[in-house]
Amino acid sequence: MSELNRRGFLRLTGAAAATSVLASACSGSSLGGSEADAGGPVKIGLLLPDAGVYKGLGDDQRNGWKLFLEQNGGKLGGREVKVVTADEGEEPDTAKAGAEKLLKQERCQAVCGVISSGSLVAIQEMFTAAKVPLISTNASPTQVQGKEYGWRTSFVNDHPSVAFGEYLAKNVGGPISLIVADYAAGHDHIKALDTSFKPAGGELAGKPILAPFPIGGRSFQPYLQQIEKQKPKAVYCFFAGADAVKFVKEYKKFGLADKYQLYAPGWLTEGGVLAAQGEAAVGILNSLNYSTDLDNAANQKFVSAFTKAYDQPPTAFSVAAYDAGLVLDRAIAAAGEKATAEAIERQLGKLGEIDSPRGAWKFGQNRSPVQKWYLRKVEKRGDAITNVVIEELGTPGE
Amino acid sequence: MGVIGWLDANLVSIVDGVAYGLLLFTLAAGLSLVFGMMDVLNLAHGTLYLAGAYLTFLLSGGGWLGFFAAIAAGIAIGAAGGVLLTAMTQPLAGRGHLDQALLTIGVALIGAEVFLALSGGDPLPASEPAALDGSISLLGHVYPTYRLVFIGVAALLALLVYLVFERSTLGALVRAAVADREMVQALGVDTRKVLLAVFAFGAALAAVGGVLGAPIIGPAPGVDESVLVLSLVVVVVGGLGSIRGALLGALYIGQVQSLGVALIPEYAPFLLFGSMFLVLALRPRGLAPVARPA
Repeated sequence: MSELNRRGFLRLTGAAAATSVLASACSGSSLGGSEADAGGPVKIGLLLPDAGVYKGLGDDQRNGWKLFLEQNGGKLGGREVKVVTADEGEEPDTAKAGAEKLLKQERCQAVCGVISSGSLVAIQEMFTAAKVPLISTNASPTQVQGKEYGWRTSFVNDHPSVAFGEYLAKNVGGPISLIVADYAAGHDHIKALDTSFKPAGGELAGKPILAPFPIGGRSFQPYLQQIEKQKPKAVYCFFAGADAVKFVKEYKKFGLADKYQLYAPGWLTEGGVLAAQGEAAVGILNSLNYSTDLDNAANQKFVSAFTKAYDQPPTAFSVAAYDAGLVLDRAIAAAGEKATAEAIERQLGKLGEIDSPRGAWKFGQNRSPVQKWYLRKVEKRGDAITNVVIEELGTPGE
Repeated sequence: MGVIGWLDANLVSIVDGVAYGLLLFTLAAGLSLVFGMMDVLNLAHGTLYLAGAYLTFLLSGGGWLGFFAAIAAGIAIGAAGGVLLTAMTQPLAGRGHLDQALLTIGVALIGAEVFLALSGGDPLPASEPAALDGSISLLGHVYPTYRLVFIGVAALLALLVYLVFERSTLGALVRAAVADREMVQALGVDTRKVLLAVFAFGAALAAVGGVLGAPIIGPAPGVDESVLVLSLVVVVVGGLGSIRGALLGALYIGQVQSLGVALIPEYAPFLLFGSMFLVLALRPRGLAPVARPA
């Protein structure tokens, strides 16, 4: 009985794991369907996660996109717009199914969205082959840069670290410890510091520390101990989402925040995660392409309209989705009567400066924004914890 | 570096490993008993932890009152969840483990979706009482106050569970029901009541683990799954159906995940399952299996 129990238990544990794999593999999609009417409204696809760990970011982006459309009477470039949505999900497979629906079934003229880098890597080729522009509002790994029919209104993954490198080398005044989440994006940031921080005279206190991704039910404590062993002057880290919350809290609770200034790409303390980190985040210096307190007319208008509509301040994620509306509006207007997918693609390449809430930016050679990055500090203002711009860090990719 | 120096350098990791191990115990104890006694593999066990952690977010605003309210609510909701799960799984008792596993996975998936709808996908802030929300000096090292208190409370809880199950008459009855249900039935005991009580108790323990553990492993999407996997490993390592095994397994996995990772970080990805493999190779039935008739 006992042996049977034990074997049954192990088998079931395996079966449990297999079931969740199967469930994600079974999401196919049907092909064929309606032809988009050439004289009718422009059809734009929105591919964002409806569920899963990225849902929060997806909601931020849906809000930014909706706000732009509402401000423009539901039109882009003066033409009626029909927005069709698909679920990006959590995995490349769900994103592929969603992209297939928007391309083959709905025959969209352009598609916006995509939160996860893994999704974008999986679907970019589909858009390049179908000759339909894909405007990523968030995901932007280094390996998809510069491909035809692929645009980003967000950033390039490693640019915050590229922008930060020189500043760190000049201002920290000692070696830094580098700790990142152990997956593609984390390694991109290690490489980015190699090209910006080291040539400027910066020095690492030891080997980069790789923390498991995602950290899940584990603790960062053993990795914080590696930092202590390196005896650095300051610490640079890359974490996002739930990992960012946990890292910042444990960094504070285990006493490291009082010893080593923490620097990071700004996603560590942007949006929902900052609220969860609370006071533990105060004092963190980070680099991002946007901050709600940026002093320009477009931003003041954007922040007040967004806050009024959704009862919460916008984030860098909502700005990137808002800007997707902005660039499509101008590209479709320029394409005139025949706003086909190819025409929109051509016009996206000729836009020049975009007057965004984050300040003016333009598409670079790699089809991602050439934009200013800002040094921000997390501060407590009254009851609210918020990022405050300290200075400009530079314009990587210029 | 002498023994003292080594202990000093790794003290924080060792202490944190104990905290982590005791947290895993609150989950593994119920999981192990329920499987050992009822032959039910409850894959919704992580959901109970998540529910408890969510209660901390909901009720504990940094005050003592809110925190104790969260604990009380955790006990109530956990026990109710256990009764509900018993009612759901009992009709499947004759249909083998796979059907039960599918049912409880379904419950876990629904739980995860409900949590997602409630939280909007963001990790939620679950705070400890403000009085414990700092750090203290532990022989010259900074350590979070709450975790130290947690070690004390969870150790008491573990001791209590141990004494009830291993040293009391009631515990003897439960252990007898694990070892040979038919024989206990033959003695005139309604084992169904015993089973229901054990399921409710194990579930309440997991939910309370979630309430107390929320400031350490907070409510976020996916936490239910990761704590479930860890507690399954603990149960495999410790031996099925035994409180002593769950405690030993939890403390062992706690040290592996804390001290082990601190000492050999380059092998961190393999440590958890490597250490499980090691135990299975040396003690195939776990560290402290239940004695059963052959």
